[in-house]
Amino acid sequence: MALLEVSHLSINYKVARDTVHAVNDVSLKLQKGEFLGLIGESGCGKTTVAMAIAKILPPNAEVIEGEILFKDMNLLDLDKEQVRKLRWQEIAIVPQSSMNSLDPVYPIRSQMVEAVRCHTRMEKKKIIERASEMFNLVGLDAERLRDYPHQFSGGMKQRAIIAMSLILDPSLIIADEPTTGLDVVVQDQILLQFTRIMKDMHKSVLLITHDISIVAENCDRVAVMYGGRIVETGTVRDILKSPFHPYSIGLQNAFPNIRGSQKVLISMPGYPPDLLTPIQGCAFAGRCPFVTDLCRRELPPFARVGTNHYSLCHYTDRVSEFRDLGKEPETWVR
Amino acid sequence: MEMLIEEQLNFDGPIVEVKDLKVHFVLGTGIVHRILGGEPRTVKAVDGVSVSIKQGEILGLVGESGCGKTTTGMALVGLYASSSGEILFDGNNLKSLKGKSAKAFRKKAQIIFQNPYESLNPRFNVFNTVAEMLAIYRVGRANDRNLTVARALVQAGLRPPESYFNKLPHELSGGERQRVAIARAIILSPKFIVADEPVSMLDVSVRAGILNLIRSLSEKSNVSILYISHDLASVRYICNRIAIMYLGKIVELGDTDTIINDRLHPYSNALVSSIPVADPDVQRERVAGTVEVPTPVDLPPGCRYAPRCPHVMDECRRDEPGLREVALGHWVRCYLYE
Repeated sequence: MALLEVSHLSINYKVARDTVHAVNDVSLKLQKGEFLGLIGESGCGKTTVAMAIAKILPPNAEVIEGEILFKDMNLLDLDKEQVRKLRWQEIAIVPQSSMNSLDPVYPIRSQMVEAVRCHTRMEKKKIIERASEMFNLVGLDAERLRDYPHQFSGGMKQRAIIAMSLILDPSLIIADEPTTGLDVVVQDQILLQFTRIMKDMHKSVLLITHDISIVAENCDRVAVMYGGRIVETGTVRDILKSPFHPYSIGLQNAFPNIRGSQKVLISMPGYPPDLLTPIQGCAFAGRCPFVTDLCRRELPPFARVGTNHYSLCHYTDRVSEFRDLGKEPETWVR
Repeated sequence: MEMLIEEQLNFDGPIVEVKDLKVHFVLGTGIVHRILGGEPRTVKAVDGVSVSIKQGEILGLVGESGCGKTTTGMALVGLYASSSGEILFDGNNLKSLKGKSAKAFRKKAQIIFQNPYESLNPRFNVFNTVAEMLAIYRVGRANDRNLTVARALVQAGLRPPESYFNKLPHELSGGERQRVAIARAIILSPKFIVADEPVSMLDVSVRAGILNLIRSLSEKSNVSILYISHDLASVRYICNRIAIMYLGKIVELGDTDTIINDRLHPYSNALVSSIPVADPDVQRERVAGTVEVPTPVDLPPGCRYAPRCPHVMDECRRDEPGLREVALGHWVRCYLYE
């Protein structure tokens, strides 16, 4: 039984008179102790999925269909009070730009106590004890709990937020771009520590990022999102070494690497789809070099291409041809 | 005085020569501080940078946020005045340029900013954005502007150009906007372009296109580019040489291959080895060391990297090491290599 199971989730945003079809038929599973990386470009819907799981969707968002099962409860059915009990104790969030999510006018300690008191009746003394433990765990001096956020550097604030997320021992951590905006050296150390702590504590982590190399180093499985849908899901090795979806194949040749020989980068022509109009057929059809009429007309099935490896493409049987052609810059020229 | 870096394998002369450039900012200290006789504090954003950029070369300037890389770039195109030191552009000192000659310089030195969502005027359509440059510098006749603008847009990869003429920035994607910014920068055929993190706001799938475009600009039109970035992977892809900057000073400079594979400075090593690798078969070695970066205000004596350096020695805390050439064209500022 998976700890978290999202099935057929679709979410729209109402913006003025328009509807943005942000998430379409997204299904994913997260086992206990597993790291799942959700990657995709800006606007692909990855953060919306995370917000739906954490129950923090903005008021103009509407869940059209689907369910989010967490420990056998459908999170979409819970009322405010039930959600309040779930947060921090069961599901914690390390938000994007969490450096800005601390209140500048209170010491870190008061913010921790306040947050925990919203969710449990734990004594203040106990909370501070627990906070000190967590501070030590993430490599911060417990003395500094009395400090104000401005006395912390960006990396230290990020560590403090990670400590806060762990304070009530939740089983699921949702980390949305947890190190974006930090410098590379700091990012590296925080991720190393984050992954080590979460693995030691058997936490399940949903890691949302646009950086494929962060996912490669920290996650067990990956779900690639494009245009509001998951287009491919599998292990890190599946996605990086034997991708099936043309978008994942294109991604491989699109980013420079610091190691190994330097290949010529190939950019995918065009831009991600506009989600204001529902997409008929495959979301990637407009940019795919192997597109056919069928792709434009019909949404491809989620084809099983290996153990727990799925690809949303009509032509998974032609994958070796796609991979070879995908390496040639001419393939992608329009 | 910093040793001036001479180009040895140089067929074209340098287009930009920077000698001991300093850009200091005086902090606005409060009135109480002043009444009590406190000295004004200065942020030494750029504190003695010497480097030269050859014709047709792409030089990468790499460092963490706050290291002064953007300030250096802005100073090189005249957007910040230097506190001391010299910037020679085509042999002329930037400080001595006034009036017409200053305008001629600005025509030849352009800048592309990091954020294409903010660097374009939202009320100017693409044509006006790009053609404004021609009007400011009175280039060509008004009748020929359509053609010149169209040519710049094509060069920047926006095809067919006419279809972009009337579009406003909000109708364009991030990648297209950055291409408009590039078209604007290249329309006057500049000799030197500062590209300040031009791809960091863009998605992976369009990033490669912009990187290839910048590379082809330097190859085809022999323009020199200072490419400022914290992303060493993209720097490796497009740059001929790399300068690593730490708290206002260049700590290592060399060919791209040298810096990536045979780097010597402990900071360069920390930077390069912190970059995650998208390959499950690669086990990366991580470098130990503390990560807190001091602010460039009231810096202690000695090497700026000493508080973080795993190889720190007594002398590092006393005096600052100089930038020395350890191999042809490879410069390092570290006592380990003296």
